[in-house]
Amino acid sequence: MLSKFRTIPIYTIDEECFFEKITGVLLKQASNRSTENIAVYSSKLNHFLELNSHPYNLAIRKTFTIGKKRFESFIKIYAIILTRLFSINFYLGRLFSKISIRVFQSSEEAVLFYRNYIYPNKQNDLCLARAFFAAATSKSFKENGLIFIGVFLPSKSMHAWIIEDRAMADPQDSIWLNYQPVAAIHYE
Amino acid sequence: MNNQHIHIISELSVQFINTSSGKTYKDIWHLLKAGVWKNADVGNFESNNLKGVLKRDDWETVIPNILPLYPGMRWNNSLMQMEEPRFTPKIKETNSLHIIAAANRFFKKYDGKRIGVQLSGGLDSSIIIGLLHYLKIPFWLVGMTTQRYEFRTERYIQHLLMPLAQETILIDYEAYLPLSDLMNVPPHQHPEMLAINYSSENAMAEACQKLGVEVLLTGDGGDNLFAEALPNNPNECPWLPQVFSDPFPADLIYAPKGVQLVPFFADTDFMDGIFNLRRGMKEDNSKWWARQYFESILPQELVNYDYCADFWGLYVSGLQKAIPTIKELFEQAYQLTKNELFSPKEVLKLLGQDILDTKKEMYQVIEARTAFAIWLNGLKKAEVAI
Repeated sequence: MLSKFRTIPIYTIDEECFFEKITGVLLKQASNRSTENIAVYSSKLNHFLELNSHPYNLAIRKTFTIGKKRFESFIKIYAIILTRLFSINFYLGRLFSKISIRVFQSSEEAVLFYRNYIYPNKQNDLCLARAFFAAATSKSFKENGLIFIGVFLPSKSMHAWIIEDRAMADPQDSIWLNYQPVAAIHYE
Repeated sequence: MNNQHIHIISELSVQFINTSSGKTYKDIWHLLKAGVWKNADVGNFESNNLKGVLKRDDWETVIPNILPLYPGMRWNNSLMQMEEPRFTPKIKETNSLHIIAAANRFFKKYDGKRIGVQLSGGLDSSIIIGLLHYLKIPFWLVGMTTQRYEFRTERYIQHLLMPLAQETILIDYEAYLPLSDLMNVPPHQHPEMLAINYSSENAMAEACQKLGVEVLLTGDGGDNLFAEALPNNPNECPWLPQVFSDPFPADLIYAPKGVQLVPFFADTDFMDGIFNLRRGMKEDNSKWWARQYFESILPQELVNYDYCADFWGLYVSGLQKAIPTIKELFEQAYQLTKNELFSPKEVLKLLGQDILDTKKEMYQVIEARTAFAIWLNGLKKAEVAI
């Protein structure tokens, strides 16, 4: 079960930008708070925010390959259902991802499996389902991982990615750097 | 015509070809004054922009029967078409000493002049900085910077490299966003896409003046040298060094301020060397080969990570701020040309779109049409279009 969902509002001079956790939509409202983020976060979230803000502190990625998995067909069906639910509604997808099947050693392995086997030609649009799939199937995520959902301001473009074991979990993700976190999902 | 403007534009390195007669013009101000601008085709300009600079030899005429002949291009009189000669590298044994020697020969060309480098915080300009530092050649740095989240790695590298320079000026990008200060773009003879970046280039040129920089080296062309797939056969080399840089900022922004804008990676000796080293290699968009090869002269962060910020956010913000000016330019363009693409109805349709949506196709049309309207505005300022 993914226990903690935390919004990370972004304050500009006159606006507050935040992620709505039921619909999965980015909302903006007028705000007169300063640009400094005043919210208090857990030490785990603070640690990951720090890593995300200083990408040169992340561990250098190793090349990774995925081996044959037991119950591969079952994992694929799980991934497809999860993907379809996310395409309907963010909350439904999140709810389904609480069923975890921890078959991969790490989120990186899970991400590679997802990229290779689940709609491989549509991966640019599946970052959210991919991240939640990895979180639900990685043995390491619970202790060492965190999902970020971010926005590329001032556009409305959004993205989701995982940092696990001090490293970006997706070796093929070259755009995450542009997105500022507006929400995080992790275990305490 | 305003004499001050004539002085600036007479320095242009671009020539023009009459596609019907094959006649070359050093400049076309006389034709513009005779009114050829009235029949200029904004649709062709937009379509040329979509084709991109790598297909300049396939561009349609924007001004009827007139094509710009950019430096390095040639006109084939028998086929009556534009040609873009490809670079053919010389095959020779190459090692790091040859690369260093090639860089040294290049820098020596500017002996006695104050050399500046554009400090972007990315790999390509960092390689130039690394080479200058290694060769103990003094240099100055000029760069744009921003506090935007996505540029955090570029900022980090900029601050790592600054101490290597004699002096550095970092300019706040937020004050010179793309599409800003459009009314002050100098008059030019042919519509040019880079007119939309006038503001930041002008700020950089002014910073060069402040530092006394006479030659500003850019990392343009690094994407070609370090990322493109390369064949074994040098005759099939895909590089077009003449498109590595654009003459618009060099001629109209930097040259009038006494600054020569030079793309370092268009140096033939250096290109020869890199071709020989990367010959037969696959496409390498993250430039891992270059990161490893230049490891000893680069910050380790650039060797081990391939981070690269997207400039998209800057363009979105620039467009948001520039909309009133763009509307004004379009209104003027409509008055001058009566072209329906600048009519109030079309403008409403074009600028009424959700500009926070990340559809690059939408931006390409807005940018090209704006660049065309900037050109008309320049002609009006030069009292050519009345």
